[in-house]
Amino acid sequence: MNYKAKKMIVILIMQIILIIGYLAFVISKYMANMEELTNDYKFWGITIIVTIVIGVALMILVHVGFAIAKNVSFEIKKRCNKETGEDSFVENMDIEDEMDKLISLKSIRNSCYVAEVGFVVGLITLCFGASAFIMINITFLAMNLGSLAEAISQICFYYKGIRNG
Amino acid sequence: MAKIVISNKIRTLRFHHSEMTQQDLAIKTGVTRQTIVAIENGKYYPTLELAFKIADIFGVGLDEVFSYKLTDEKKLSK
Repeated sequence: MNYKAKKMIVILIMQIILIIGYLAFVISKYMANMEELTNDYKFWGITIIVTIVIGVALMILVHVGFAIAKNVSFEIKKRCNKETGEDSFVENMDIEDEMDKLISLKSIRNSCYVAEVGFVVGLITLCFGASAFIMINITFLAMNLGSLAEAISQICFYYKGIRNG
Repeated sequence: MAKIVISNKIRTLRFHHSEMTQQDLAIKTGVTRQTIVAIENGKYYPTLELAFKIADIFGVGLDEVFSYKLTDEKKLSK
């Protein structure tokens, strides 16, 4: 399995856990204090910001973890190659070449489509008289689903291939 | 609508050039080994720049490395 595909799978799992954690938290809070939370936008703002901060911290942890694992395996491979007398060159797995850039671009495009659809769905709920906190949550979840779509797209492209155009 | 399929002879050319490895070709062209694997397996069509670099490394013309055909085998009129 490709190093980048492995990284995207870990990021995907982390994002799914984050979304489930957020939904579990807000649903339990909302069921306990339904009337108060319907118009308490400060609560929703703080909850979403804290979720974003946790998400960013987890992403940093994943990137740092993979960087450490990559460097350790890099050194081990170089030493093994030296001992066996093989060519000591070991490929740097973090280089982003033209195929990686194309995969990244197409994945981000898919992510934007999902987020845009979610935003429009949020606006439609407002048109039907739903409370603003529902629209805020739908938009936030759509952005998270967009990130999921980006990770899934990258994994699919690395496995199935990608064509220009 | 007819679909264009681009095939290549990179694996054969590598073999005839002192059994060059995918890693060697990747280093010479400035891409990752995964990209070379994807090109050989037809999962990725390289940019023009990369295609010319590959042809240049093997010392042959572009049409000796890559070829294309339409899947319903209709030829484009010139």
